[in-house]
Amino acid sequence: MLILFKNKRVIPYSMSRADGRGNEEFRAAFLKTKVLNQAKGSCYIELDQTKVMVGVFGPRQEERKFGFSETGRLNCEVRLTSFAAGAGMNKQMQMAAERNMSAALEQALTPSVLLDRFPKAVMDVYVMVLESDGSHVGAATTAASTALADASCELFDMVPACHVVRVNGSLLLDPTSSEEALSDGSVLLALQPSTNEVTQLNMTGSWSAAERRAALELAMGGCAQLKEVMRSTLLEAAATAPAS
Amino acid sequence: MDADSYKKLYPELFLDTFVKNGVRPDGRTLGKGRAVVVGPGAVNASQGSALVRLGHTSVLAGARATLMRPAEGTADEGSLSIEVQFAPFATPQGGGMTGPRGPTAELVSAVSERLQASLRPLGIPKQLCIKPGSGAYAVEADIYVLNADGAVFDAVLLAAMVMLRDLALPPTKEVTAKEGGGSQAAGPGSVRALTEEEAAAAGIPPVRLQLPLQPLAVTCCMYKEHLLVDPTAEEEAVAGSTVSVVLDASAALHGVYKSGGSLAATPMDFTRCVESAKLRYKELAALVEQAFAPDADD
Repeated sequence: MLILFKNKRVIPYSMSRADGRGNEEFRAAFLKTKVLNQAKGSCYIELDQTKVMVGVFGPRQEERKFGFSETGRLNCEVRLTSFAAGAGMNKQMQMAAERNMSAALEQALTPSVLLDRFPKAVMDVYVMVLESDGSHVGAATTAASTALADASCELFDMVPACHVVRVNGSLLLDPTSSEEALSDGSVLLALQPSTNEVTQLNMTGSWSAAERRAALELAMGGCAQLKEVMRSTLLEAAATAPAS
Repeated sequence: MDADSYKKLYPELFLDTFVKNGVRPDGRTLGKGRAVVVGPGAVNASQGSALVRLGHTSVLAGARATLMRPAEGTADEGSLSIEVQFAPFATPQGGGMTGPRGPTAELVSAVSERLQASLRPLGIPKQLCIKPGSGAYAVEADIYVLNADGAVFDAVLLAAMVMLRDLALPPTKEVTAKEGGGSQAAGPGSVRALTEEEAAAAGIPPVRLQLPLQPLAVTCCMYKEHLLVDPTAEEEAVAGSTVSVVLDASAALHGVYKSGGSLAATPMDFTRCVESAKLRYKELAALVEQAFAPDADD
């Protein structure tokens, strides 16, 4: 049986997806650090057509309105380009989406940072989703965490994040936007893999206990895979960096 | 003191040390531009797009076309609106356009005003008209400055030109009386876009813009008696003033902009800027041609 949809992509009712990968497979993930020469740390992530760039700045002095604090603060700002937002989104919707993503990113990353190392100060994490074909929130979190590491910000652990959606009862890792549109349930998981501590979990749809467990396990496996990519990217960058 | 600290503490002396010897901190000679990357079609989701890099300065541009009914006063014109925005990580302070630490609103509006002025001679709105009074394309383009490391206007204009050249507008047809009822907006006599399947079936290629000219900008900055072509942000910050020259393939000038600064430019300085711009133009134009050459699409 083949299910046809309005968008040109067709998801066959078999084990493989429109782009030919298995249900539990990532799109080819590409990470690169030191992409912005003027930022303290930066990272670019590409999951096929999902492209996100992150720049980290600071620490800088906290604005007076936030008052005195013995711990530092992470300030995350996410922007979407008009092509990432898509034709169906007007300016207000886009701004609302950006605010939500910024808040979510801040929550996902803050637990991983040693905030008491920069009291009274702020690290700025600026994210721009250049193009999106699904899973850009996870990609943004992954890239932002890598950029923080690139900026030599002290971290407890890195925070990879990935999406799982349920389409016709099967669980798909790292969904494209057409798969997201078809799904009746989704999971966004951000986690510190070394300690298996979850920093963010976002589930929508109704899940049975067994399904939920399977989805979380799949997402955790995805995060573990992403962590390896992040690690090797950072190690490679450190190996090729000029000795100073 | 190591070189990095010296640069931070005494940016002017740092640059001076290099320029005295006829080179620049990144190893270029004074008259040499940075490496250029021209990538048309960088964004899949848009109908025309470009990624342009001048050294570290990078700009991403994308355009989306929709159909509209021409405005009353300008029945034979479509619309082209281009918005220039800075990514929040584009400048060393971060903050993007909205934050207090971002590039000044003046810089953004100056860049976008110069861009509008440079594109005006191309007469694009007239070309976007399909049927006077009843149908035209509305092109909405967004240009994002991802990294503003000097000569931002050059990169923005180059990206805009490459994007416009890459722009593939969907072919259209007139709505006949029979199918007019399909959508409420399209009455008989108006135009509608063909779907991809229809266009492929009828063998109609997408509509391309005619670009009679290719205005490109070249920025030079004046430092003491020297002229530095295609400056980085560090050089711009130290330099007395910057001069941007917009010219086309026949070396005709479309604009010369000098932004304040502490140095006044003599007519001789402008002549030198224009001469350098001519040389750099050839380099840029060749790269654009190369990017659009048929064997460039792999």
